[in-house]
Amino acid sequence: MHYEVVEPSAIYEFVDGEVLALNLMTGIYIQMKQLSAELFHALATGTSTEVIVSAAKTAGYSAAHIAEFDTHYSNWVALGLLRNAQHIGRPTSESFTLTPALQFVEEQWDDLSELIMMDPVHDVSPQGWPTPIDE
Amino acid sequence: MIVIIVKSVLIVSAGRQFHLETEIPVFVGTTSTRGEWLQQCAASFKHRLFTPIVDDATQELAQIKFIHETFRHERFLFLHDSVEILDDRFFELIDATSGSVALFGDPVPFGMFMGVFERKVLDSVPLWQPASKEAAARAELLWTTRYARAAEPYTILFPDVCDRKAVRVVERFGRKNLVLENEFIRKYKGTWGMNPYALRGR
Repeated sequence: MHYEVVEPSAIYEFVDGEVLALNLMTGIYIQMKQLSAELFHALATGTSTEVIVSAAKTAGYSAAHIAEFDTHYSNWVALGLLRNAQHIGRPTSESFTLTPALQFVEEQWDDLSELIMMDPVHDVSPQGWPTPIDE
Repeated sequence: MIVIIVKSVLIVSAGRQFHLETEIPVFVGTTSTRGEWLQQCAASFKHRLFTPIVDDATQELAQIKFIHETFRHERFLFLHDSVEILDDRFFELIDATSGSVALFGDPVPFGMFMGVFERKVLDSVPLWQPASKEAAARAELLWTTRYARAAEPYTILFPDVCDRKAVRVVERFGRKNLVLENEFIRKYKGTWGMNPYALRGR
């Protein structure tokens, strides 16, 4: 199975082994490291779940650990960051390897939601952005 | 990446002592084709030195990365060449701050990448070079939010200076600019509406 980033409502960057992602429709901001970041970036760049499982086995991850992958994929879909791919991306999967012994590390915040979701044209008070119209 | 000291800055600052221990170093991001902007910015610096960071290929985040990795200051102020300092007390405000300081909160804290950045915080967050204007727009949300998280508690110096409070658009150096300003600083914004709402394509 392949996933893809829900563009343009979701944006992300993968840098220094860290994923920073934001759902612009909900304002939920997610920071991922280690295994979370590697898996998310792999999926976002077109690596199939089957290839990821194969790479995880090669890297020495236990079956129980690998079984958790789907839970995280589903969570990223639920957060509006990923969806089932409508177009299969470039075949990056052949060379995919996974770093051994990583853990899932993921934090998310929603305290910017109000700001991110505000329509600056219609929802902003005369005081201006970012003051909502009802304040 | 090339660092230059503009001649006019040295002239207006001639004879003045630079108090490194109390003054926060100031950097201004620019490009080699924006000489008029830099001249205008430099002319507004009445009594303060600054270092222009000239780079044609990269965006603000890459310039911040370069400053951080090259100068290793504990704290520094990063501005665009499209600002004018309207009152020298601006620097008194800046020098009196501690920690990280977002000049504006629009569209999110540290939006427009302008503010006082701390080395210890920059050491703890990823820094990258956006490869396009669109990537820079993404970085303005993703990186600034990441930086703000790592910098807590931080200050938003001018939360009331934002796109929606701008009351005029002016022609300057061949482009239309939305003018954001208060008594201390004026920012000529060439791209506006680049807020989360616009970016998500609604």
